[in-house]
Amino acid sequence: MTVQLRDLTIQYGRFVAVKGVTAEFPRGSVGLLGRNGAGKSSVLKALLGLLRPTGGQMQILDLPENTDPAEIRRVVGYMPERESHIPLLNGYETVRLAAELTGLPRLAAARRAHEVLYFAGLGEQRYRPVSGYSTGMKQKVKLATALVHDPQVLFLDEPTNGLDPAGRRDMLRLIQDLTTKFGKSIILSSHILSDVEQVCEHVVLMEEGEVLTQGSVKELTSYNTRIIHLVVGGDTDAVCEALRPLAVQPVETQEMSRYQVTVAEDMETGRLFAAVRDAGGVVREFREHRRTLEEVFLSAVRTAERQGGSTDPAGVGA
Amino acid sequence: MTIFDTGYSAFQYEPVSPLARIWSLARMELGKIFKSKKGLVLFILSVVYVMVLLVLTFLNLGPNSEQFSEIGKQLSPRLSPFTREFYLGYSTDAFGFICFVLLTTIIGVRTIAADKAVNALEIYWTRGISPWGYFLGKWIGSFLLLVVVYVAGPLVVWLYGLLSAPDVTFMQETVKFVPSVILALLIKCAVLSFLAVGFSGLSSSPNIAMFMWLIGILGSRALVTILKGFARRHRGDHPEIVQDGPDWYDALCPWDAMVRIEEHVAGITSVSDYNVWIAWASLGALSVVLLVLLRRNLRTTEVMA
Repeated sequence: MTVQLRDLTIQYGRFVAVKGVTAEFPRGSVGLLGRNGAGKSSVLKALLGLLRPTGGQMQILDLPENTDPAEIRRVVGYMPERESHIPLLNGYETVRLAAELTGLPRLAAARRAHEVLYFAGLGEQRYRPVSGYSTGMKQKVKLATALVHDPQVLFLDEPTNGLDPAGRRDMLRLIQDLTTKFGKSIILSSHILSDVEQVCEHVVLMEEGEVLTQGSVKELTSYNTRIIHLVVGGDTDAVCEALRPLAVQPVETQEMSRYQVTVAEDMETGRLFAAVRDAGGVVREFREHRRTLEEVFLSAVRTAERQGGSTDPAGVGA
Repeated sequence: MTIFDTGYSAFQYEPVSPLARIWSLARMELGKIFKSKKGLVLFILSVVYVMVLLVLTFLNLGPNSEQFSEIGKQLSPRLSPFTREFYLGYSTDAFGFICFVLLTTIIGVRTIAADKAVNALEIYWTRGISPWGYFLGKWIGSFLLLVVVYVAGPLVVWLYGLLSAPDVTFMQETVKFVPSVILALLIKCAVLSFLAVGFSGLSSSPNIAMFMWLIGILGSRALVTILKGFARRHRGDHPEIVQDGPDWYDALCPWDAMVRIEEHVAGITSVSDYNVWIAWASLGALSVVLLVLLRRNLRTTEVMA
């Protein structure tokens, strides 16, 4: 396990940013998802020892719970969300200084800075002042800074923020390489769900300081149900009425006789065709699709709202 | 080479001590002045006086030195390398004051505030350095810069004097006071760089920090002048003589307080002759206030939240 949280609570004055969160982040790449203000960054900062939790417990790797924050930062690399750089320094000097501050000897820091900057894709640009970099280059410097001391775990806070599609693809590919080729554990905090879906095997979904659900991406996107899109000819009300007993969620009726029906995983597709036929309709289009993380997230939010803030993962598929 | 041609490699290392990390930061801070044209010009301007001192030393100790030495001593002790005033004068006069204000304004006073403005503190504090370690690194860096300008210069001039003097008289006469002069300059650099970096830590942007610093230095000097004006009175024994307010008002200005301490340590009779402990108390109180405010301003939660 990379990180374990038990009843973690973080408060800023009277405002409770994280409300008794219990979550597990297995080794590999884990997405920490949620809208802005969900409490993701607060969790990361508490893990880094930068914020003192009001309550609860945290464990990173096998480190004891009361480990000195400086020791935690030696095994963890952090890529901050906000644009940040050290004034007047170029890319190479920034990464080298970060390495020296983490504890690398001077010469080793210099060698390592060159290596990680090449890895991040800033080989030719590393002697230019960071203040003149594009957003994508700044993100790469931040990634190189997080990687320079060869941490076991990387906390990446919104790494694709402000990137154009090509830059985003490059960044996601670098992140993927770090887990698949180099065995790093990554906790990727993001509100861009498609990014997380692309690189993470496991996710923890947060909303308003609470965990809505957590699990593997594969499990969550196929959780007990299938989503079927239908285009049906015939009496709309009758077809809708016929589909209702088969659906596990309210049938969504769209324009041009289009329906979205969420059915149980094990339901036979033939029953759907039969129900439409019995209602006097004709199936003109049938399309089944796997749920995206975005749908899982929105579904979990809706369920939580209906249940008054319940964080039961089962609510996702309900 | 494309971005995916270079693989990532594991890396083993034995962490260096916290002091070595602070030194890395201080070194970086010291080098910053040479990274911009503005800083470089200012640095050169600040060390121009060393050239003047070298020329004066040459005139005093070189050929025709006797003739010049006599003239110099009659004009001002600041023209003779045999006096304390020669080495200290340029750090206490108006030129030294202007250079100091410019130098600290560009370097020390901006340093932490500039880091805050571009969220650099997130980088520092997610590494292995504490907020106080960070402050110490910044202070040492700014201190060393002032040392290069205000201490190394006179030291080089004195060493040049030792090497160019025709006999040991110069060494015998100057070795008695040069250590105290150097100590005075070191104290001045340490205290003023601390105040400059402290002001920087309280501000969220470099411009605010510079404004606060200028108000602190120039404003307090103006305040002293006004207060002395209010306290102006006729002397009892000589009513025709108008006397300003008490000299200790000068201690309200950090620069003047520091000059008083500097002259005391170097053994020079000060124009403003009040108890030197008042100057120490004034700077001490200011430092304590700064530390208390910095404790809040540099908290990780304040910056990261």
